[in-house]
Amino acid sequence: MSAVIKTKIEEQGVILSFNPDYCWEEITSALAEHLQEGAQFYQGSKLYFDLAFKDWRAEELQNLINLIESNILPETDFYFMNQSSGVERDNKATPKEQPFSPRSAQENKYTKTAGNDTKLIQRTLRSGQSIEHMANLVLLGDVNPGAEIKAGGDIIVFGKLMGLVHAGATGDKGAAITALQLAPTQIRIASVISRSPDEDKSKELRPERAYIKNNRIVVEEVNL
Amino acid sequence: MDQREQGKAIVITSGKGGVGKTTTTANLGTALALLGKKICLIDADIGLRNLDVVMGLENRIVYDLIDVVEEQCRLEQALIKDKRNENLVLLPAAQTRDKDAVSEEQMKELILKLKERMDYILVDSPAGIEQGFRNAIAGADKAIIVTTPEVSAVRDADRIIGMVEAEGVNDPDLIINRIRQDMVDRGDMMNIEDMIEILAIDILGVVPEDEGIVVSTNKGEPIVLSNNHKAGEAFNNIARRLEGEDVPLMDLNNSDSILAKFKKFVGLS
Repeated sequence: MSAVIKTKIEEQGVILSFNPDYCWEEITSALAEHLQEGAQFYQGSKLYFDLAFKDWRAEELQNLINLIESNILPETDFYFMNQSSGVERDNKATPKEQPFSPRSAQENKYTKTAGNDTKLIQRTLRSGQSIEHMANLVLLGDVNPGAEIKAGGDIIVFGKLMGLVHAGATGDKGAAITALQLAPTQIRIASVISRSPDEDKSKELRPERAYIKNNRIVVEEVNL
Repeated sequence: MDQREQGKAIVITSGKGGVGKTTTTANLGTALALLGKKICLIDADIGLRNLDVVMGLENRIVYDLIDVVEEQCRLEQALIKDKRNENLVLLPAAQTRDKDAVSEEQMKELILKLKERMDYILVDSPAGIEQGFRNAIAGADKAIIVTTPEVSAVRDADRIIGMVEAEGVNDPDLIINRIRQDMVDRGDMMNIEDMIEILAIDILGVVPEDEGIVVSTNKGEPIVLSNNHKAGEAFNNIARRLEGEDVPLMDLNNSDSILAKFKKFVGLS
């Protein structure tokens, strides 16, 4: 009933965990498919494979590494993690690295988003629809209440932003959200959450930009 | 309070859409909380959530029911405290998922946990008779069927009563919503007796059509919180009946003074 592979965008990267109810053959074939489909999406990001659900033989681990390496694009880092015990193994022989410190994710971010990985989407997001992207996201259209837009980097909405918005979802507190009309139900940057006041806001189109200042989300007008 | 009594899980359902399940859930929950009861509202309409909007709590949602059953968060983290009444919490539905994201067993488990700490758990069921409905009635001790005085709504209510009873939730109660006494008097609308005769279940309350409902829904403020509304009064009466009080059905005859309306009760219940 539930999915074989679960993904979760975290501050440090994307965590992939497996449903132990499935047999290993099912998991590997689902993983290969998932990685092929998401190769573009994952490029330049860090993948964490949660292997805590079983004990591993060296041979199995080697097969897994081969499978992953043959299905991802270059510049995609991957790590193995063991959520229950906190033991981490790194296939790229950098054992001292602490993949789960936010700082290393942040340092990485600028090299990561320097490329042409900004995604442009031209449509209106309606209630119940959601878009996620690892890097920057530009949307030409509205984000209606009940819709969700989430990005690892900055978000620009050339339209009315009324739904839920989460910029810097991989932990970048320097991320900003800009919209022609910034009236989200809820606004999140990195791990800071804020919600719109309960009173109605004015309906005029006035470009605004939200960012983090002193650990709080502030909104200022954008002068074009 | 380790010896406290288990709470009661009540599903509010109808079969047909648009008859007022969500409005009823929001108002009954608020009315019961005003009586000092600890209430949890659950929005079981995964993918088409509304209860948070009607309660005016949409912008506070961080985690939802699906996050709880998938163990992405603790149950406490997903319960949103009402901004007006501390006795009331809401467990919102997920908007970007669908009905299959949760199973009947998971709902049962969830409701069992909530029963330990709440007096009432009100589950707002989605329209229809598919998986969403089955999830909503899983774990319910009691069902409240909402209908409107229309042949189609009564037909669907009849179907739903059969399904609810087949699931082992016996003796459902009926709420007749949006009744217009002037139309009933003219013979243009089904009257209460007609509907009770068809459905043959106990009547828990009759809620008159009220323009105030539209205003209160749009503002995200349940109508039981404002005075001078007949619909609000009707929901308050239903809450008291649930608590075992003997409150007669409201007299819906149109008279000029609101006070006079409330004074003229008929002893039907």
